[in-house]
Amino acid sequence: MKNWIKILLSFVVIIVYATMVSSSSKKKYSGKPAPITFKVSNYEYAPPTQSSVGSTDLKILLLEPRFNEKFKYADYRIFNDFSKFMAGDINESLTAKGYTVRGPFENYEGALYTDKVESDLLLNVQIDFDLNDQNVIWNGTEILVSGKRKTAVYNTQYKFSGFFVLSGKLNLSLSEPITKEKIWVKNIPLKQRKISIISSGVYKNLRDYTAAFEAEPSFSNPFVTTMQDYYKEILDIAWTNLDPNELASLKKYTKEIREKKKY
Amino acid sequence: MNKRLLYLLLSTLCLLIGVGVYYFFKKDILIYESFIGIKKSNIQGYSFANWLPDLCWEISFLFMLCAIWGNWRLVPLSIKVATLSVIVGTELVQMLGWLPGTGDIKDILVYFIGFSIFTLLFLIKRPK
Repeated sequence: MKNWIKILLSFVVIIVYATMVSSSSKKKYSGKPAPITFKVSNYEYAPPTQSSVGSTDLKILLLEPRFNEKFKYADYRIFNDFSKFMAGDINESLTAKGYTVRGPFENYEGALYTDKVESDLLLNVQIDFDLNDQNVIWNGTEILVSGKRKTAVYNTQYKFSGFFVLSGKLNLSLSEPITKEKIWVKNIPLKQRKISIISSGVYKNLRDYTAAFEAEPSFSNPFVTTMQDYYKEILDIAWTNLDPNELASLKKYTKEIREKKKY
Repeated sequence: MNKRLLYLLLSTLCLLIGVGVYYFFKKDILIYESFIGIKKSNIQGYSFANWLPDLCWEISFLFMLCAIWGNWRLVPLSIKVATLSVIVGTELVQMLGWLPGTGDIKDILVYFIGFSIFTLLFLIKRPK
């Protein structure tokens, strides 16, 4: 190799080295990034059509929608708000279909006896969600809390990343309001949704998302967006399935059950 | 094996060790990592990750010069001086805040030790 080529290559290597060293410093952020704020759930539903009030001769006793018992996130605010808002919008949808509605009541016991007697059907809406976190990867690191060597005390701190998969069914059931005997049941599967989350927090309890829901907007905001999509999907399903022509035919069963049970 | 190829391989190996130490043991995301799109989530940083990669890269740099010239002893003195000046200079320039990064006197010491050991090794083992 000629000498001038070697010299040239040497200078190229020197420049590359200098660039590498200067690029191995900590990344500087230009300006402070705007803090991410918690997204407020905006659950809205407008019934597609509007019938005159009481045009369908059917009185429905409505209970607030509830999550299945196995769904352990039901008490988290995002999900709690979801069912509360849904109670109001299902009420509105039923009224728009021409039903007379009593409720929504928080639970069956909350309804008065007269409400039960004067209603033709009891509507139960159950949201059977399954939040799968198998794709959320948790990494733990032992952190020295106190002591040294044999007396050292360590705490495990966790970080996580990945995505959740939310799926489930909407269970609609109509019963005779006094005996709660089921007359009509429909279980409609919901579209599966992937919820990608970003978390920068450090947590003490493995697979416990309570703190992340409360502290990290980048974690909880994707849930809000997904739940808003589900909200419309569920109310559309309810709108389609609670058809007055179909439900009117169930009134006779209520009468039959009451006669049998001597109410 | 061809000596130039051996030096090239050693240079690449040292470079990769440095990159690996930064990736696995450094908490902060570095400029080049961010540029390439490397994502990492190291909770804890280790102090050796502050100087070991620099040393590895310095050795890699010196091996690369060996690959070009055939041997460290054959590298002209002017290039050697320029090399040492750049190695120490980058740290000094960082100290002055003209380059991103943290200039550290310990790093300069590590560079000098690395450079001296490298030169001594080639003095001991004379080329045939």
